[in-house]
Amino acid sequence: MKIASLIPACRRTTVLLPLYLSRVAAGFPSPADDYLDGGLDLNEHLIEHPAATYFARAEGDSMIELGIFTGDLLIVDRAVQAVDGDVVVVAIDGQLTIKVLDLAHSRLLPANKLYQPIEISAESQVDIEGVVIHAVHHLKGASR
Amino acid sequence: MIGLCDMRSFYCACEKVFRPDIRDRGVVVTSNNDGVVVALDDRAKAAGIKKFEPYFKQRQLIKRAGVLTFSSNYELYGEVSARIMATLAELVPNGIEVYSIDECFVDFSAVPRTELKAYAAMLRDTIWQQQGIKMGVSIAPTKTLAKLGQCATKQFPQIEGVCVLEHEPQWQWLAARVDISETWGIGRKLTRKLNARGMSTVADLSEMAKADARTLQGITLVRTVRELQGEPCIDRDCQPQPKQNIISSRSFGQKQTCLQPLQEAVSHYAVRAGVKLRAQSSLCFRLSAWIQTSAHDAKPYADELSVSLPGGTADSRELSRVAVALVGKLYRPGYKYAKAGVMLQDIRPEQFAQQDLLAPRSENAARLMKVVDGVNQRFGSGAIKLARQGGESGFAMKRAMKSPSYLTRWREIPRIRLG
Repeated sequence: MKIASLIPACRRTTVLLPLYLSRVAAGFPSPADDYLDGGLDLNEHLIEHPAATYFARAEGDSMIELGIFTGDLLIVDRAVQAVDGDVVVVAIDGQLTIKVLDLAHSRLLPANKLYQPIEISAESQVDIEGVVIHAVHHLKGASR
Repeated sequence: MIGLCDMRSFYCACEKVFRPDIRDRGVVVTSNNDGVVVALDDRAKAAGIKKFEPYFKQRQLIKRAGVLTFSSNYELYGEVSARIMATLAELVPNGIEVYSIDECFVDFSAVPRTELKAYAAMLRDTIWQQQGIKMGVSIAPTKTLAKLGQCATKQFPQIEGVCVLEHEPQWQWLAARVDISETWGIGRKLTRKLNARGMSTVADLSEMAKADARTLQGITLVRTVRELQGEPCIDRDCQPQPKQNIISSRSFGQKQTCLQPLQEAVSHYAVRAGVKLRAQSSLCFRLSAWIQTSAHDAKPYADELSVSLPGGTADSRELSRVAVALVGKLYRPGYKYAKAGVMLQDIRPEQFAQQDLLAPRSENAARLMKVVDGVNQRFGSGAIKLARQGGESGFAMKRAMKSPSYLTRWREIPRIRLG
């Protein structure tokens, strides 16, 4: 066995404004250089636990009343503790799906009136595979 | 106290993270080009499938047993591993020492003895919840004993994956029940020698006279014996030494008969070797390249050429140019080539390397390579490459049964059905 080198796990990519606006040595320094904040990193806003977060693609309409549509990008965090009312990824009988957690009534709820709640019985195998903390919905041209 | 965290059947477990439908099934993972079985889980083992045996010989058995086969998905395993290591590093007070893709040592000296078990269980639960991977944690006064403790976490389900060896009677009890070949650092050859001296368990080895150990295998075996007696003598950080040789070689997905794909392949290997060379801040002073048919080919051929590189280099362009030229000399038409390779030799740390007055190294080349490595690290290996490396079509590996790169490619992230 050898020590393997690993890629760093930090998920924080940096899509930032350039830190130094004026790099041309001969030019007049930009008066704004002194006021740079370093830019905004969207990852910082959307992802709290980079090493425990994965992305998934939504397919289907059972969660539309909570604003999750087909094709949306889901940001799923496995490090936060799921509580009732959270939107969770669950494995039910070997299939991944997304429901609202309602442990108080031993149920998993859809967010679409056309679907029925799922009762969690003693013999059904239900595993929580993370909490959906954001859904990224693409809007360009949505109303065309 | 030092701990060892070991991921259970790691490659197979990674395949199940996003596949709840196969969590009750046995899984095997095959090597590059699907040649041999490189990983298998307990269910596959129970079915009689063997590690490192050819895949094609076991295909019937695998099928009959209902065991699933995956081509190795190193993008996935590497990412899951990096996430696990990052998670552990954040949880423990003194950092971790990554030992392999699925193991790391943890310094537990800051944790009170009475809390070791609960602490280890917490680490195990966290990795299970956040990464979906089962982990065994063993804690002992030395690395070699921690490694021994892993045997207990695998053998005795009632300890729930956590083994703390605090007192001598505890590790002696376990050592008497574990085969000597399971000892950390004891290979197959040494096992045979020790067996010949009548030693069969780890306990036998721990009682070996140090003078005998020294005669048989030198200081490394003495260290192992002392570690088994509870005396730490293997450093916290056994960092890898700069490699003496860097080899980059692969079997082709399909046999090649023309020169061009061979040259593209070795160019690609030379570039890859160059990345490793630069990562350890070294230069190489000699390069060799080889091409070969399969050893079982009706018309076999294999040859190798090497050339010295005065002044040393770590420039991928130079390495690739030399490798391609060598293959041009090695190539004979009329053979079905199965494999090619490049080896960088005579590797020396950059800071000690003498400049060659006749062929000074270029500062620009070093800067260019730094930029190329940076881009490839960020955008994926191969984002920038030499034209000579070609399109990778013919010689790229066969990974016919590979699962999606769930965590590293946008197109392959898991799809979840909302029904």
